[in-house]
Amino acid sequence: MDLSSPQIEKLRLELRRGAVPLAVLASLREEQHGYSLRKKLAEQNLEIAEGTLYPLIRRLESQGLLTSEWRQEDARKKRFYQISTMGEQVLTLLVSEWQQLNSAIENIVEGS
Amino acid sequence: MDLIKAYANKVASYLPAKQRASMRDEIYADLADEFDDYSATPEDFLADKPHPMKYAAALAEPNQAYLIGPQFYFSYVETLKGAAAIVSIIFIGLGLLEVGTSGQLIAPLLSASFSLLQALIWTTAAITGIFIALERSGERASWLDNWQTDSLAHWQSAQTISRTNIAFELGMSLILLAWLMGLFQFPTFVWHEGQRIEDWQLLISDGLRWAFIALLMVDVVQALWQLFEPVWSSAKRWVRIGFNGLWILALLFAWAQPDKIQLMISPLPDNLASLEALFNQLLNWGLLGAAALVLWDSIDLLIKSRKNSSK
Repeated sequence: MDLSSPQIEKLRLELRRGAVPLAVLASLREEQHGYSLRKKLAEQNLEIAEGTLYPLIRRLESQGLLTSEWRQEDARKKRFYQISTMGEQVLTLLVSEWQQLNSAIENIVEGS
Repeated sequence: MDLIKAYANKVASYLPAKQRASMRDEIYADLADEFDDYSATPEDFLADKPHPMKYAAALAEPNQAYLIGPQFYFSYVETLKGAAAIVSIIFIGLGLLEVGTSGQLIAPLLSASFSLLQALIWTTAAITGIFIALERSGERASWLDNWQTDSLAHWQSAQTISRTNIAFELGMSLILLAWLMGLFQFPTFVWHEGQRIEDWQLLISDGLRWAFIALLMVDVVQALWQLFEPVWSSAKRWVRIGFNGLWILALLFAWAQPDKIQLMISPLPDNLASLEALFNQLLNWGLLGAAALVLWDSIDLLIKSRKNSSK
């Protein structure tokens, strides 16, 4: 199977899907707007398309994990997002879960 | 031309009305920031972005079971709207032709309405079937991949025109046009206290009739223009304001010359002479009222045009 085939790409996306909310929540400990958040994640080698990011941010906000505020910056009206108190608690839980999962996967991969 | 704003407007136009304004502002601010980091022309920058319809589709909530999924949803809605407009125009035209040739009013109109409803149901079913088949086939709306930024030229303004208003204006203009051109007659009798009064008719001077016909034809062309491009542009506003001015002149002329347009009941029973005079007075004031409405529409367009140009 070709490593750039759509099936492999789908598997890669599925692997990333669960990690992206964690990365977004962690990045939003500092206030960001959509583009600056994407840029920050891209600098950490985590490129996210607008079409993935906006629905995710909306969902996290509707779950009460993020807060948002419209402000003027550089003569443009921008929507800034930041993690909420509940979001911080969920993030701590998710980070712990991630670390356990990471450690388990590492053991499995090395063991094989 | 702010192409990036036009792109954001176009994307937002596919989203639900409640989300439209905030998503438009957010998409625009983020794209404009991204463009600032990008050393190229707006055309090249946007050429790397997906078709606005695909961008909007990506904003839909994932993980739902779709009959017609987000990739196709907006293409599906656009196709339905276009097909419904074409089918409606054809059936309204055929209905008016039937009215004109048969000399009857109610029966042909009812028959045309049922036929239109039936045609709309079949058209919707056929288009839905095609899109469901596309969804099931694994096709990923590849026709949207090669899009041109030139198609954004009309999306500088974020103000869309309601298709319901356009359809209403188009329908009214077509009916009045057909009536003024003599394609059909309204029933020419009224009942009063059990007595049938024959032959009421509206007498319009030839000059005024042709002036109204010309203006209504322009209205039909404007409505079709708006139907296929339902967003306000400066050109559309000024064309409409210009023709509104001509409508106002024609209506004021008709109001000032009551003998050029009047209602006549014949034979006129003695006890109804005052009623005829009252109808004519109402007609005369109705013309003034219509001129005032058109003036109000023009003022509204002027205010919106100034607001838009000051942004």
